[in-house]
Amino acid sequence: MMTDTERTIRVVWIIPAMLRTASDGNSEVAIAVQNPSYQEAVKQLITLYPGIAEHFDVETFRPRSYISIFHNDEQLVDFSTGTPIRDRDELLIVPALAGG
Amino acid sequence: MKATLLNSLDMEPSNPMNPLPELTPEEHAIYEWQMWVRNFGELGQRKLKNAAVLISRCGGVGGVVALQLAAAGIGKMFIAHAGNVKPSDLNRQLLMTYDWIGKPRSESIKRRLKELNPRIDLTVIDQNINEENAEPLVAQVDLVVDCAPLFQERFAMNRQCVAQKKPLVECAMYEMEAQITSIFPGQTPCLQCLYPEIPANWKRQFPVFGAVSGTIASMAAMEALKIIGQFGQPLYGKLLRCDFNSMSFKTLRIQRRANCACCGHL
Ligand SMILES: [Zn+2]
Repeated sequence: MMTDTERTIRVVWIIPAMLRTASDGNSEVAIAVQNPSYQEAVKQLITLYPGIAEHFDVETFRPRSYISIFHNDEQLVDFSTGTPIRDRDELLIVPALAGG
Repeated sequence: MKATLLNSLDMEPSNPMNPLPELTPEEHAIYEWQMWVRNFGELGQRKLKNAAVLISRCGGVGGVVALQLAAAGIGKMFIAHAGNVKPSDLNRQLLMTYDWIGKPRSESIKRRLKELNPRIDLTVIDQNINEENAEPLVAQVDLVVDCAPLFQERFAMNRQCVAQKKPLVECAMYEMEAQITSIFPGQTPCLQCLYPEIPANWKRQFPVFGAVSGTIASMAAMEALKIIGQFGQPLYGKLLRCDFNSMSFKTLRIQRRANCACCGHL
């Protein structure tokens, strides 16, 4: 049986309202990822929707300072290495909001 | 962590230097139904009566926070909100009234809150939060609820709450989404742990239904009541993210940033 690191997996990005002009209005985007890692999932997302690239450092795939990324409801804080992800994992983008 | 957080508010009735006020018969009659809430009771109500809260801006979110806290019997409230009532306030700012368009928001806020709760010790400042007024305002209260529409105001408030180690309920919305966390400086992530820099692309005007701002506001009021009343589990170290399109609500775990420019030294 193949492990997640040897096959293509599917992850879901959840796109917040503030970034949806860059995702054709889509709030959820399922993408296929080979060599599963957070960095690869970002790469696939911005290949699909280039407008989202400005919210990441495209060298390291760290989000800009006004964005937090959550991997299955846990905040991602370490972007230094290939953060592993699994089939059907969820990646949520949460931008800073100030509507009051 | 819980015990430290609770004790820090120094509202224990056993403290002879700071005895909790008794409730009047009228207050007993008004708050009877909420005093039936388990782990709150009359002691919790006396803690609310003894507490002072600052609300930064009193618009779609802050207005409903103020209304809920006034209804619940907070003893003392400071509200900072500048400007005159505009027609575009009226889809969500429930403390503003049609007859007050063009007149100071601060007067409308005072009138509406006093109609609901004439007992409240209320100070409405005709200013928004800035680096100068945040320090003396935060110094006078036990807890802050931040509902400002600009990050400059939110960051100034976060800095002061961290400096004075005061709990801060941080709540905000945009379009059909809203998020809320409760901050206890030095023990939970602060606003700058979550977002180290002010976003350059935030616009002062944002899409909003009053039902969205009012819902996150009621959640923020509940956070304030739990922290002051010392019951339940506040959203310490957690960010509740609400999507009102899909009615999806996620409780996300957030982390302190060791090198946070605001609270990293604590
Ligand atoms: Zn911090």
